[in-house]
Amino acid sequence: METVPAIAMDGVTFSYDGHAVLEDVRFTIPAGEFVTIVGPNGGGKTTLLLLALGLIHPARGTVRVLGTTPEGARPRIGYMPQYARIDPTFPARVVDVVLMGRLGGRRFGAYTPDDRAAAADALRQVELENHAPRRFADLSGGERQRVLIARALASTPALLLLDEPTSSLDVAMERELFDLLGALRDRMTVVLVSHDLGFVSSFTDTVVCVKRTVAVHAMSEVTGDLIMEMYGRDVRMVRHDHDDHRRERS
Amino acid sequence: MSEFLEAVFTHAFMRNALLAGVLASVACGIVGTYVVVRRISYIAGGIAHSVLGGIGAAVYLERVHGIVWLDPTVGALIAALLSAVVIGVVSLRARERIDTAIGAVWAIGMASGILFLSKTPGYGEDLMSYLFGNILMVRTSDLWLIALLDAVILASALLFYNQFLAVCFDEEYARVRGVDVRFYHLLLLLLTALTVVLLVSIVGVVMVIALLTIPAAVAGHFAGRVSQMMVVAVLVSILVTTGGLALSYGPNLPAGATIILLSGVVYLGTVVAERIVRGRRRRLSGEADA
Repeated sequence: METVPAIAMDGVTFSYDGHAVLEDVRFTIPAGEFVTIVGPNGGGKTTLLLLALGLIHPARGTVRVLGTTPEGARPRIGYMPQYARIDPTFPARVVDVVLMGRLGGRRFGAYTPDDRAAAADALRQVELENHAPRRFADLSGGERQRVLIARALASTPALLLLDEPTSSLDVAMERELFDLLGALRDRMTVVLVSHDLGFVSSFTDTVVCVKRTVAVHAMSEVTGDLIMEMYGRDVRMVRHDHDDHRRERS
Repeated sequence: MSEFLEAVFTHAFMRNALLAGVLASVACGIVGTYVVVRRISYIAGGIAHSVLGGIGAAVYLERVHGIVWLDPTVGALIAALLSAVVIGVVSLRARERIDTAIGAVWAIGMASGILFLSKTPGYGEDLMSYLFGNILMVRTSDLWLIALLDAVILASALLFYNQFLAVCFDEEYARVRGVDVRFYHLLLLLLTALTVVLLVSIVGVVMVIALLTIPAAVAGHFAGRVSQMMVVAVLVSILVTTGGLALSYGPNLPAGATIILLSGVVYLGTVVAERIVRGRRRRLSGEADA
C-alpha cells in the first residue's frame, strides 16, 4: 500500500486556448506526505489539481492517482475548490453543504444515517459541530471555507486536495486551520495549493513549485536562495502576482 | 372584488382559470427555484420564446393539413423539449457558445411561429393570446395536462433533490463525487421546458421568464434552504396568479399582464422591505455597540 504513490505525473502537457499552461511535467508524490504547491498566479497550480481529479485531461502524458486513473480514484479523493468559485448567498444549511461530500454515484434518494454521522464527524473536525443548522449564507468567510473543508473530509478520503484553503481566513482562523492541517497530516496524504508557504512550512514534507514546469523540493532543502532563484522574492512573501510574471517573460 | 368572486361561482371558465393558476404555481415554484439558484433564466427565456414556433407549426398543420391530433399544446411541448435538448447539448459541448445558441433558438422559434400563424387562415388574431397568454381560455382537459406535468415535476424534484442541490451549488465538486452532472443538467432543462409549457397558457411566451423567476427570487429573500425556497415560491406564485386574475376581472384588463405586474410589485416590495429591515437592524446594533 505504502509503495503506491498518491499522485504520479509523467510527461504531462496541458494547454488552454493555445497557451501552454503546463509543459512536460513529471513528479511523484509518495502516499502519506504533506505537499504544498506554490507558484505564480497563472503558473498552473490549480491546473495541476484539476488534472489529478480528472476534471481536465492532458494533451500528452499520463496522470495516475492512488494507483489508478484520476476518475477511478475520485471516491477516495477529498477536494476543496477555490472559495471564490462558491456562491456565498446560496440557500443551504451548513449540514446540507457538508452532506454533498457523501453523494457518491447514486442516481437518486436520501442520505443514510451513516452519511449523516460522517457529516457530523467532519464538522467536528473543523470545529463547527454547533453550526450544522445555520445558513451557509450567514457564516463568515473563514467559517464558509471550513465548511468546504468539512465537505471534503466527509467522504473520508485517502488523499485530500485543498485549493487555497488560507485565502479568506482571518488571523484567529488561521491558527485553527493550522491545527487542523497538523491533525490531518497523520491520517492522509494532503496536497494544498497556497500563496503562503511560510504558513505551512513547519509540517510540509515536500514543496512542488509550478511555473509552467514543475520542480519538486524537500522542505528541508528549500532555502531563501532557492526561492529567490525561482521567483526573485523571499519565500515568506510568496505572493507572485502577474507583474513579476510578466517581467520575467519580457 | 365581489364581482370576481361571483364570477368564480357562476362561470366554469373562471374556476378553470383559478385552478390553472394554482396548479401551474406548483411547477413554477419548484422549477423556478432551480432556475434562480442555478442562474439559467436566460436559458428558460430561450426555451419559452421557441415555444411559439411549436404552437405555430401545430396550428398550421392542424388547420391547413388536417392533422387533428396536433394540438397547440402538443406543438408547444415538442418545441420546448427540442430547444432544451439543443441548448443543453451546446452548454455541455461548447460552453463558450451558449449565448449564441440561446439567442438563435429564441429568435428562430419566434420567427417560425409568426410565419406559420400568418399562413394559417383565420388564426392571425390568436397570435396575441399565444404571446401574452389567455388564462380565461384554459379548458378542463388543459387542467388535467397541467396536473400530470405537475406530478412529473414534483416526483423528479423529490427524487433527485440532493443531486440537483449539489449540481446547482458546485457543479465541479459534484462531478468529483461521482454525480452524473450532464444527466442532471439536461434533466433540469427538460423540467424547465415542461414548466414553460404550463406557464405559456397562463401568461404567454413573452412573460414566462417573469413568472418563472420572480416568485423564486421573492422566496430567496426569506428562505434558508432550497426546499423552503420552493415552498415559499409556490405560495407567492399562487398569490400573484390568483391576485392578478382577481384584479384584472373587474376593469377587464389582460390577466397575464396584470399577473406579471403584480409579481413585479411584490418583488420590489420585498426588496424595499428587506432594505428597511436590514437598515434598522444595523442601526440597532450600531446603538448597542455605542
